[in-house]
Amino acid sequence: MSVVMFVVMLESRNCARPMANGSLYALLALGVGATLTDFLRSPFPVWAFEFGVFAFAIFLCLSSRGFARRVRWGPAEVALCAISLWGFAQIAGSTDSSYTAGPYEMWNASLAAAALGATAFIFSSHVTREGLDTVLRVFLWFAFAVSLEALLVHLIRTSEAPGGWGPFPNRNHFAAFLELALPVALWLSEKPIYAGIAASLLAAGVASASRAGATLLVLETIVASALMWRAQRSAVVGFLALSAVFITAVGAGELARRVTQADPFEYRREIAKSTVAMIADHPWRGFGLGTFQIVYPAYAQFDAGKIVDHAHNDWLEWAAEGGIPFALAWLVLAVTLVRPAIRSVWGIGVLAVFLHATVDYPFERLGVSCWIFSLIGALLSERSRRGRALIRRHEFRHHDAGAELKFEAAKSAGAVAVALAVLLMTGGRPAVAGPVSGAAEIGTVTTPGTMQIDRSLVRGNATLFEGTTIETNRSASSIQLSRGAQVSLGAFSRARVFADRVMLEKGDIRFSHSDSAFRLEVPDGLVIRPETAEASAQVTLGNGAEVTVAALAGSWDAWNRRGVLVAKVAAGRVLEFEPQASSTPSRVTGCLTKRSGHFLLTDETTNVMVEVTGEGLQKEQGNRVEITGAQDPAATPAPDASELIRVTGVKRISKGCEKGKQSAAPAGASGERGTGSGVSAKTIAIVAGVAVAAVVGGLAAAGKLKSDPAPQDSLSK
Amino acid sequence: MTRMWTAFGTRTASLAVAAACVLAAGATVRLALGEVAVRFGYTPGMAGAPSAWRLPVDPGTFERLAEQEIEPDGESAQAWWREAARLNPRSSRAWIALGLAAERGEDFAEAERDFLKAAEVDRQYLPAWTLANFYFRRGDRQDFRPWAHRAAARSYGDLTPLIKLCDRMDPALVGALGDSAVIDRAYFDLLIHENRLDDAQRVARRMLARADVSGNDVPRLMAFTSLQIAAGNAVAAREIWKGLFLAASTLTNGDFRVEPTGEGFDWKIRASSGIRSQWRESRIRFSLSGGQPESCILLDQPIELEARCYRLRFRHSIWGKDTRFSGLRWAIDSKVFPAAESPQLDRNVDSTDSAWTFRVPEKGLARLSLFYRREPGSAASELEMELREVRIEPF
Repeated sequence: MSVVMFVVMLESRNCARPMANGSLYALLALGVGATLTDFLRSPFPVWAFEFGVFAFAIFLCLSSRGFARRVRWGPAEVALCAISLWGFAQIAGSTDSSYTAGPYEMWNASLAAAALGATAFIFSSHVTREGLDTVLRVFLWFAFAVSLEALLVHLIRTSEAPGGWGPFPNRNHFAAFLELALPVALWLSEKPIYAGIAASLLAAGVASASRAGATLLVLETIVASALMWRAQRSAVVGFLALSAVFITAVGAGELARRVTQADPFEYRREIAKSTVAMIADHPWRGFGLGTFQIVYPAYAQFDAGKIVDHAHNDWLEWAAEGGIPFALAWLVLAVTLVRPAIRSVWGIGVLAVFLHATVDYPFERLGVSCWIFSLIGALLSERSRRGRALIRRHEFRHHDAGAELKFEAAKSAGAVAVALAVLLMTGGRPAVAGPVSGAAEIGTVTTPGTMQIDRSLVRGNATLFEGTTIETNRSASSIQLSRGAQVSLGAFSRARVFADRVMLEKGDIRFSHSDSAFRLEVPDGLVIRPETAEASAQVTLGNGAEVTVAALAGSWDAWNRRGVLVAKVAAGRVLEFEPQASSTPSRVTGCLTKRSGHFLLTDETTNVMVEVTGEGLQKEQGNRVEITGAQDPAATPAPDASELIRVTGVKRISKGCEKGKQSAAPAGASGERGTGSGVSAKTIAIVAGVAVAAVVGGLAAAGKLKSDPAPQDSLSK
Repeated sequence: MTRMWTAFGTRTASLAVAAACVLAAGATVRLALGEVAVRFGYTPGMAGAPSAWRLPVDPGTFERLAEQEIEPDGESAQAWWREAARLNPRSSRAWIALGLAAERGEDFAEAERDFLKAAEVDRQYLPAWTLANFYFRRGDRQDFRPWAHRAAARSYGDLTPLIKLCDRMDPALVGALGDSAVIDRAYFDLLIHENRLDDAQRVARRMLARADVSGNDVPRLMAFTSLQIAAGNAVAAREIWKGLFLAASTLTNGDFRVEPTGEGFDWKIRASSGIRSQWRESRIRFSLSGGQPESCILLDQPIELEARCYRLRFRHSIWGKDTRFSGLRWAIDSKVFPAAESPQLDRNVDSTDSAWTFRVPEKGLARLSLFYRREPGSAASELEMELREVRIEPF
């Protein structure tokens, strides 16, 4: 496909009929959509843009006399073609798997480059002068709307955390977007409304506090004002005055603070060194477009604790991914655009973004790059009309073209030199992530994100020692103990881990493959341990003292701090516990039986057998009853009974036992709700000083372990 | 004829471009389908389904799916990780996950291979840290050392976990992590946290030996001398103190040139109800409101003394409500000898040179303190006192 496309482009000549307005708006709508969805992590909007551009290109080819007819082939077009097709050539030649990495990434990047190249070619070959005017105005108004929204959100934002700018997650890309729009506004500033828009764009750029962005916006202002001075002096003066007012209004304090930071090249310097090492390894063929993020770690010279997904220098990244020839193609494109951009005034932004690309990656964001390539296409279309003095909009277009060009070339060279110097000086830093000694390790812990181990931040995994405290962040952690127990600690939870137990201090936890010797301790002294092998359970600490235990597999026992069995949680059941004051009377419900002279009752909620003693029990033998009374910790209960309760009240629920058992499990089955014990209206049993309630809804009510395996923060954010 | 050929060529070119664009659009759709196939309805049991359709799939999606599995060693999670590693052999996360699973399955050779593979494709912190942990668990000191060193070089934040690991393996290895003030500082904090004062003393010496003891370290080391004094390790405390302040004399900050820090051998101003203190350069003033406790210390300082006589010289002013007694005295006391007290300081004096001579019966760490005690039969003092130029000299 790439070969066919290349040949076709090479063979293309002349021009087709003007693009209809509907088609023009459709293409612009794709750009608007790509920009507005720039903040999304999902790849689908990118694919939608690419598909739209390709479909649009197909439509143009089939509906007119040829998509490529108007292309006037020069170095810029050849470079553009090479940039568009290079990735496919890499894929075609990637039989040697030793150097290519990530076919998925290569396909994505190659298709993006092809779509962007196609965008430029469409604009280059189909946009008329009138159409160009429409394109620029639409783009400008869109940029103005985006900047206004970003600025307003920024001004009312209360959070200290760095947020996005409009649809862009990064201030630098927002600034690059403004760099494209500002010269367009200045070019149109004959009308006061556009001078106002230009001033607001400049103010938004300053407010964004992107150092390179603000520098380039100021440079654009200087260059464009100088070029337009004679023709539109009053407009320029008005723009400058408005800019002063707007910048004062939005403030430049954040920018000043960032400019005075100690080392503006921190991280960028190290990333650049690694990228140069990548280039040195594969100088001619590169590692494949889009593969920087997956290749970089092998060359990393530092670790900021965050993902380095771009080189923060597009030029180096192009050379690393595509090889030096690919970077040269970009250089040819940039150099050939200098003249038409300066002459057009509105296209100066493209040069600014190429400069910005020395310290950032504006070309890697579709929301910016789709407009860059649209303007590149428009510049090429203007250049194709050159020689007939069609570029200039105003009075100064009538000046001697040769002398003007020399003057402009000198100015542009000066501007580029100044810009480079300023960038080198001010280029921004990426906006960027006690146990006793000698104890043996007891297991490992892993997390997809970060966690605190004994109050120290740890990423990925760690070795556990006796008494290690683990506190999770957004992601759950998986704990594997040497004795075989496997535990998952939910997000925003904290636990202390020992070889034979875990003390849950906050949040929720899930046990799997636990052996019967293992136990979980929660505040207020409740101990939960598996009764059977291969048992699993999820335990959640509430905001108060309540603890929810969901037995996922096997049976679990809950004990109070004195070692008295409080409940047996059978597989599939969920119980909620809340320790009570010692004076709280016990209350159990179930079938009263007599064995060896002892009255025994197995509570329907807790499944625990207790011995009861007192008046009025004989006549209730064999009935389902609710018994209240006081626990006698000094007495020795009958065999199999967990405690002895001295009865203060007996209430018959039903004659006989069978019927009661059927309706026993759900909460509140006893008919009487609420005892003031604290576990709300669901409370139906109080055993050994712990209120126990069956949770309606069973395991479904227990919910899943909280975890947000969100991707790791990127250095680019 | 030429025109016809040109038109034909142009038309052909247009159709070819359209065909290329159809292929490109198709490729885009394939990518989307691959993503959809993974997100919806693709399970590890269907391994190779996207491959069978020749759909390029994002390996990152498999990593995310693996991480969402409740059981990291479960078959499902492992299948996702294997798929991720197959699609992107440069994914250190996948190799580490596979290595950990192999280690848990006690296939240590496989685990080591996976971890080394991770370190090969990723020279950042995590693979090195993982390998250091792995060799620690294996008790392999030889292999542990280089990976711990590499992890330290690539560490991006808190070094404590790594240092703790090294310390547990062999305290000597901590020094081998690198000659870095950051490492020393983290290790020092760890040792203090674990109350291992002797080990901390060694690290403190290393910190002091650095030409540039940083601003972060000075308060840390001063606090450490306080800990050593409290633990009765006066010699060790003095060693660090002298390392911090080369011109340290028997009495510290006697001229009150800097505000008392309360740390180490410096003055400590004691807070009591009814007493206000105010430091100004070269002097310190106490205001006793009359509501102060019957007996309380105003100011004290640990001090190392020989077994001999000393003279304490100082300038002071006392003024205020007319009472017979100021109630203010100096005292010297120690764990090994009984306290000695000076006579009450004269009241209604202005910048008077005074002296108190006392004898130290036994060499050691003592405490020099200025204290107040209400004289029996008198009212509580309401006065202002200003103290300056305190000196101590052998007598």
